[in-house]
Amino acid sequence: MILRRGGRSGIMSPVMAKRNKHRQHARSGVASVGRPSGTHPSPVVTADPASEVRRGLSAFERGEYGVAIQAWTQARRAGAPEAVDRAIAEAHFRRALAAPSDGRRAQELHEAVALAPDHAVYQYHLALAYHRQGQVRRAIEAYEAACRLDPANDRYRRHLTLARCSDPGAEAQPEALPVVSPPGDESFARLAALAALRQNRPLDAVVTLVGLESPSPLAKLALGLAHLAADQPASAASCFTGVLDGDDSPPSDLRAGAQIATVAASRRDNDLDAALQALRVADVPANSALQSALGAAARALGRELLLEERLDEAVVAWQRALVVDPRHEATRRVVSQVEEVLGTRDARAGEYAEAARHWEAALAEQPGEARILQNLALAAERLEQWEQASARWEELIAHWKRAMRGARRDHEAGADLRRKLTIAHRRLADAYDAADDLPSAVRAIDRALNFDPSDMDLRLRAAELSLEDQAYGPAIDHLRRVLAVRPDDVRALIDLGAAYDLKGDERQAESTLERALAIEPGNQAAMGALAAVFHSRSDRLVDAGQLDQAVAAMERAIELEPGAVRHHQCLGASYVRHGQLKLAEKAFARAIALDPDDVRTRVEIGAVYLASGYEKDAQRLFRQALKVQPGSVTHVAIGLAHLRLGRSDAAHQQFKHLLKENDALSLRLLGAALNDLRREVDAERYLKRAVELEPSNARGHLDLAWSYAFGLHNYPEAAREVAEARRLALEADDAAVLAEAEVAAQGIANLVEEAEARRNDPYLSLPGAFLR
Amino acid sequence: MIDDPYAVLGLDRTAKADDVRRAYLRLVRVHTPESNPEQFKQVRAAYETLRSPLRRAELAVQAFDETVSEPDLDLVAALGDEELDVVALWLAIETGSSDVAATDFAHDMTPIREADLLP
Repeated sequence: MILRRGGRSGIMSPVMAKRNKHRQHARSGVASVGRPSGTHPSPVVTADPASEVRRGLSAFERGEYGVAIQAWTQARRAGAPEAVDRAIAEAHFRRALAAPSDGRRAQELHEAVALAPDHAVYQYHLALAYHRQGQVRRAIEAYEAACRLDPANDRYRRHLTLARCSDPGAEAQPEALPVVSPPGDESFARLAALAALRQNRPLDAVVTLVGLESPSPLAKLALGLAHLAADQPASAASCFTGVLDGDDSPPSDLRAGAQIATVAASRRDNDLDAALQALRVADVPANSALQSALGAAARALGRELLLEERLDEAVVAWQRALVVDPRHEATRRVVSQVEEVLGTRDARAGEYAEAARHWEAALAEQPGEARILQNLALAAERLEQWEQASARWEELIAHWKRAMRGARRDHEAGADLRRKLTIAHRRLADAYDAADDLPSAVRAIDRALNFDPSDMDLRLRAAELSLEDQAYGPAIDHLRRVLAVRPDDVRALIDLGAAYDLKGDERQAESTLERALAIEPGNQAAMGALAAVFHSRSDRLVDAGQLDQAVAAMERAIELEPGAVRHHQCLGASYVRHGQLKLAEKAFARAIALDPDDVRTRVEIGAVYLASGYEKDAQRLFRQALKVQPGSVTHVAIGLAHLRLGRSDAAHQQFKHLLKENDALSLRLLGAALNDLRREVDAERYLKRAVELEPSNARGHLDLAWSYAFGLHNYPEAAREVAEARRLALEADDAAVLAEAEVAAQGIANLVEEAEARRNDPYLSLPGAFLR
Repeated sequence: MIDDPYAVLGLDRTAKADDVRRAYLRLVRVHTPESNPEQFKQVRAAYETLRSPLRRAELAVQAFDETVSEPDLDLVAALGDEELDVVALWLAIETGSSDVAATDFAHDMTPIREADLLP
């Protein structure tokens, strides 16, 4: 074969032309090594061309194309025949096929084309490389060159047509899409139809494809697309169904294409349900063009659903669009806005969990949006999710604080934000309080007071939270400040009295509460609080052996709060401790008379007798209790009373009734109560029975594990019970028990580790090792 | 219990004190105590609630903000009248099944023999 350099059919870049110039220098006998010729005089190569050709051939056969190119280039410089250029071109071609990128591939192919410009296959592959890179015009030129060199090659012609159809200017140049279709060739028919569609002749595209015998899945899809373009969505949908439900499993891109097209066809056929269903099941394609198509189909469907007021479903469609195109700003904005609308509508319907879900989704696109944060905080409050509520209020407060800094010049806006911040802090405090996080609640209310120190209701709330948090000093301070402004505030006086009482300042408590009663005689809360002061005083006097004063104080408590059982009961107990049984009996009778059906009073009075050694009186009260309410609950109460006094046998005499009754719940409650009393060894038998009776109760297994671990130190059994509790909790989807089981499992693991360490360390097992 | 005072006065939640006063004055001219006593009472109660800045702030914080309760059609319009590009889809699949997406071209390689290079 005669090789022509720079032939008219070759595509050559300016860079390549320059390189060829260097090669021509080389062929003229001036060789260069390592730098371009012309800069320095190069030594004349004296290599033997034949041996260089053989060296190159050997490397070529080993797949070392770089070495082959180098050796053959040397050979050419040393005078080897032009045919060697052809070999160098093939080596470049092979390197192109293995190139890691399309750019690199095109570069190698340019070398090949430059060296063998009349070799059609190199032109074709250069075209493919451009085509892959989306450089359609360059691809077309290279395909055309390949077609000129080998006009009968169908493959080249097909790809040329495909590239021309991809050319953005193709509609304007109908003549640029000549397709000579060999009869019966499906691939040419498809391309002819595609070209017709490209030239806005969809019906011609349909006609071209509809007559195909035994069409492939690709041809079916193509026909469907032609129908769709010709505004025949029903026919289109039926073609796509043929692709998806056909006997052959279509390649993934083809399947994805048919699914996407089904969405569009069903929508255009006004069957939005079918369109949405198709979208829901559509695979996410790997091909970026198909991803764009899926995004477009999903967005169009979403728009249609929204106009039909099917907002939830519109969001589903748009979410699918975002899966393939997560950065599509317009979709993200519309999804967020519609999610917010759905949240508002659900909240209006009282569906707060759903509302919160939508608002969370909306917030993802509008982070820090005060309106959404506030709604989420309020929804969490409605759902009694206090931790979430407090977190949202905190976020909102931070947002409003920033806004307040920005509103320094706008007095009205600033004042409004201050008011909002005060209220938000109060709600934040309430949320923390409800979540049993008292220190945070106190801090929140203190922060609220920074915004409005003159709000006495807020200060009163701060005092109450401090009281609850047992911070009596700060509580008293807040209350004094309230009373300085509102000296007759009875609620503040009652709180202050209670604070003094709890702090141990009896006299201040008494005088404060007396003042409250002077302002509002008969105030029940004030009388109760003052009764509590006298009750505490009575207890203290009994302990000091001053019975007369103790009785007087308790009688004052009774006078203030005659309906409180505990005052009568404690008065009776004081008498019992001093052996005045008749007076005691009278006091106890008054206590019982207040609620004759409550067995607890009788059992507690029995326990008082028992503690002072009056066995018969105790038994009398216990019998009365059992008469009022026979059954396991009373037996447990009596048994626990015995147990607290260390009378284990008498306690179990009572508890054995539960074993007879075989009531799993009572047995479990008893076992748990014994565990709480650190009587784990006693608890084991009841819990074991409870678990036997009700093996599916996860909490029973946990309680039993506890008694095994801490009572019997039987860790393997404990671990087994915890594992069972965990399994049951998972089965029942009970997150609370599951969390407890996780903690218990960790606790048992720690106990095992500790026991192991003790066994292995003789020093730890010595008596008194704990002193270490 | 009265209705949402903002709704009674035909205001949104961003309304300021002046807006509240203007809306009240406008409505009490329409719903006089003689012509429409019930509505007058409602308007009056709503005004009493909203004239207090504290009460207004409480309402703003303690009630759900329902400002966004209808889809914003401008945002929907911003999505455009996009349709599935049939040609692009077809081209993607046609291209995906052509040599452009192929990787095995062993059949396009030409063998090189020593005899061709060293005659």
